[in-house]
Amino acid sequence: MSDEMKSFEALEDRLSARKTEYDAMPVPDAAAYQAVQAGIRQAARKRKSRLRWVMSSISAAAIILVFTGCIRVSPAFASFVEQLPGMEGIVSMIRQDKGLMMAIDQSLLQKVGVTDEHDGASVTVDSIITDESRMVIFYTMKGMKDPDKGMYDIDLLDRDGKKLPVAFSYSSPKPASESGIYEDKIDVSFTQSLPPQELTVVFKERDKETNYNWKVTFPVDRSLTKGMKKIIPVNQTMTVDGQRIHVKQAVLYPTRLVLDIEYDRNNTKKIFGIRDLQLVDEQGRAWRTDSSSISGSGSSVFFESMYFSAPKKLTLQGSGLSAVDKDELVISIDPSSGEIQGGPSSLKFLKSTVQGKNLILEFSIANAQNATSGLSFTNIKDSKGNPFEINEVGWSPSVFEARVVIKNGAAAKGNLTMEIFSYPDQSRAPFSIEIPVNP
Amino acid sequence: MTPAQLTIAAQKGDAEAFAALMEMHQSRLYRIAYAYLHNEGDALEAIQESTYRAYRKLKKLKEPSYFATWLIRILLNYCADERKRKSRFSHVTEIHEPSSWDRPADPDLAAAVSALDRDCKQIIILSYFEGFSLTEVADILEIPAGTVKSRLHRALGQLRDQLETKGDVTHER
Repeated sequence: MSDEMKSFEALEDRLSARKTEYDAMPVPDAAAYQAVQAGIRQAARKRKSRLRWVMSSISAAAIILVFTGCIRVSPAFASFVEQLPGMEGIVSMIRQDKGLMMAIDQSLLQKVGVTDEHDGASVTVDSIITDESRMVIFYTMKGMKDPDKGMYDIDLLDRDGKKLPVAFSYSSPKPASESGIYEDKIDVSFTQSLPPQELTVVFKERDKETNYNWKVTFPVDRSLTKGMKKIIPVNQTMTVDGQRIHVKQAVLYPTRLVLDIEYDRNNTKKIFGIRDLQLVDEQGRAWRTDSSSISGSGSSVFFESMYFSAPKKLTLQGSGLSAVDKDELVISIDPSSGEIQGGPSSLKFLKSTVQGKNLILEFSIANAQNATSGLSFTNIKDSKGNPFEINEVGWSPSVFEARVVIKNGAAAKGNLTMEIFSYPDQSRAPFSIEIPVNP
Repeated sequence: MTPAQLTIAAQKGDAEAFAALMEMHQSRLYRIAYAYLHNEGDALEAIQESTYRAYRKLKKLKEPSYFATWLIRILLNYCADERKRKSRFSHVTEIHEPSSWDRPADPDLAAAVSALDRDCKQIIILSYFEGFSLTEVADILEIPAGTVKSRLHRALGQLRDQLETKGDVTHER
């Protein structure tokens, strides 16, 4: 036998020893089964990923949702929570938020189970989880017409029937494991008020002819998370892409962490968001953000909560900014021709449509891959100086197209002047700073 | 029902038949994905994504008895793309006991297999670890049996070179 043959034979022996280890590899059957089910559901859905954003007209803060597409929880942990009774649906909805899962694991989920049923269809609020900063409402729709096509609007009312001063987001409900049943969640942010003691959720069919409403009213137990708010002072300044950013404090709630940051007024760019922002703990676990509330001088960034994992160390990391030069903020647009003056060169007009009293403007934005925010405007005026407001914005991350609905915009005269309020564009400039967890 | 009958039922839109088929293959998919991606989270993600792709493309599968090879091909393609993409993100938390696969008795060999290029690694996983025959591997990868043979030879050569280089370095110390 040649030396070469011998060495190959020895190698094959080693490979076959490695095969024994391969065969002994433990397979997490429950989690693998769950992954298969999730894949089937995902394929059955086949929906376009357009999310609807709702902004309260009362609230000065707007919620900007972030599409990162890379946030995920360890499936082992997910399958653990999933084994709790009644948790499968909820887990598939909040799989990307490990802080919320831990909060649920700490028995902070409140069972609601209130249903409104008429005209052959029903809506049930199954459960909620809430603290002073955020509420997530889990609901199920049964026998409703085309729930997955986004045919429903949602209102949140207090005991007196008044709309809550909150920002909230929801998307079209997703098909559950049983046919004809759809489920999803409403994510509510309390920035100016505390959660009400009693809440009414109204699901309004968009169909003008029938115009059915389903109303579910239930009490909110605010005592479960009372006194759980923790304030962590930070007071540090960092410079990213030449812009100064002051990190003021972090407020930790069971459902999320709110990081308060302020942008220096002498910055040359207006910052709309920070790219790939995450908090990393001493074990290398990343706690991510999926939304933020933007105010004039800064922003409150919402992260997954590490409340129940009690980290020893936290590092704030990011990879760049979503920002526009301050002298490119104001654009003037002719809605009939689509001609734009001013603004960043990546902004292109697509079309404008009148819908009822509203004016819908659609844009495409070049180089907006992995955008961390949508497009929105403020200070909108027509050529006569009449002010207008935006009542809905949408962003299609797959095609980089933005949609802005201007309330009563059909009545606007001549060119519209608008100031960019959020923009899906970014620079690359990685940074990191320490957050003192135990000062 | 036989796997082929399940495949036909699934192609006609029977989601339960499809789920049953996937359940038959999930352990194998997991092991292959784990050998490729090195952690549980990514392996499960690979199963989910392969299920999704398989379910959507199911009608395009012409010969029902080829479901298994076709499914493994989908998984391998996903794993190859995923490894390219992985350079960008790398934060998945692990909560499980290290297995003998993760703590190999022969770490040099394990590392050498791990470091193989994409084509060679596929061949080693399929032929040596999964134990597929030459023809089966050829079907999975959609390449002629002769090519499988030559790739196998190349893979073993690469392994031997790597292990020998390592040996030399040890001798010099």
